[in-house]
Amino acid sequence: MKRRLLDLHLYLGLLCAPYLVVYGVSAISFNHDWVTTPWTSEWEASATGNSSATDAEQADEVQRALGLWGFIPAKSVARDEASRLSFVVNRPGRSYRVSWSAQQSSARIEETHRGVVDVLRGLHGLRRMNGAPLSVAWGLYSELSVWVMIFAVATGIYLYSSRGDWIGWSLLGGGSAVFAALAVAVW
Amino acid sequence: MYKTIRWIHGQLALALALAVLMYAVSGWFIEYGRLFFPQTPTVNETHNVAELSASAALEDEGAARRAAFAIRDALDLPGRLVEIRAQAPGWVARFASASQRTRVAWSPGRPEVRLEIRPASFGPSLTTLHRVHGASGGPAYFLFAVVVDLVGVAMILYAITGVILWWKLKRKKRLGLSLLAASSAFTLGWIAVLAWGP
Repeated sequence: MKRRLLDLHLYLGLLCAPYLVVYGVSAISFNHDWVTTPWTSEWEASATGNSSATDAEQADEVQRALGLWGFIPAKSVARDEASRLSFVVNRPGRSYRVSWSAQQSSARIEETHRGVVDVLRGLHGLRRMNGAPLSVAWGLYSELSVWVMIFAVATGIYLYSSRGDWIGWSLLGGGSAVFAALAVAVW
Repeated sequence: MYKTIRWIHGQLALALALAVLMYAVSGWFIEYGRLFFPQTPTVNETHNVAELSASAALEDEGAARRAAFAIRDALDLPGRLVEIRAQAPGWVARFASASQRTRVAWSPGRPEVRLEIRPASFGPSLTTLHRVHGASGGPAYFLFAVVVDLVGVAMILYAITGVILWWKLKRKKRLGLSLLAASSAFTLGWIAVLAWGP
């Protein structure tokens, strides 16, 4: 039983080890607000949309036509005085500010790159991205990693229990008590 | 060497077990919590705070900040100040703790304070706790930020020491190598595509 649990602990840990590194680096970056200097580029592309649809639906359609991955914040969808539809598409590491003209069937895109740290922050908990069906695979990996973390904590304590010494039990009790007290303090 | 690495892996895991468990469970709640925990209704209240009678003019943010803290102390509001801005005819401040978000509005020279209180049930509070970061807001938040850093470093160390322990423990490495290679390629591939891809 213990041998099998240890094997599962090891192999599931190996499967999720890269996710733990992504999670660790991104957690530290959130805590310290690491921001890299963004750089932007601009380009134009042709894109057609359904003029009878709502602005939000048109934005979705233009995003698909342009092949951009990411989410459109509802608040970013707007029309200017020249009736151009503008919206933002956000994805890990990058954002796009799109200005689309239905008459000319063309879009101007301002692309902002935020670097690898922002990619890691975006991958922290990412479940899926519009326009990128394969991103579901990352979502499943995130889901699996969450369950593996819970399993690893439980089996780690169980495996330790057979040869545990007072230092380990003190760390488990003390660490849990300190964390619980801090959680209550910021609750 | 092996014993030292096993000691680091084990003791670090034990010391941070509850924290890691909280982050894992609350991470799951962020995705699925709305299925179990309904939104709690917002509560509106009006109070009089005597300390506000000499409060700040619209352009004085420093005094407005002091007034916001006076309101927090007088009304015993939980959490830290996350936003303060002038909004005619007065000021708006927001305090946030894991279990409650409070919007506070008041006008210079008047004692009335309007509160918009959004309490949260256990699940949403846990998801807010998951997102607490940064050292500002007092000693509790500073210490919590230290724990967040420790958990971040621990995650990286669990992965590194775990791989070393597997390498030392297992004579047959094909399965482990396959899993590690596949997950590393998958993760690095996603990072590369998102950072430098189309």
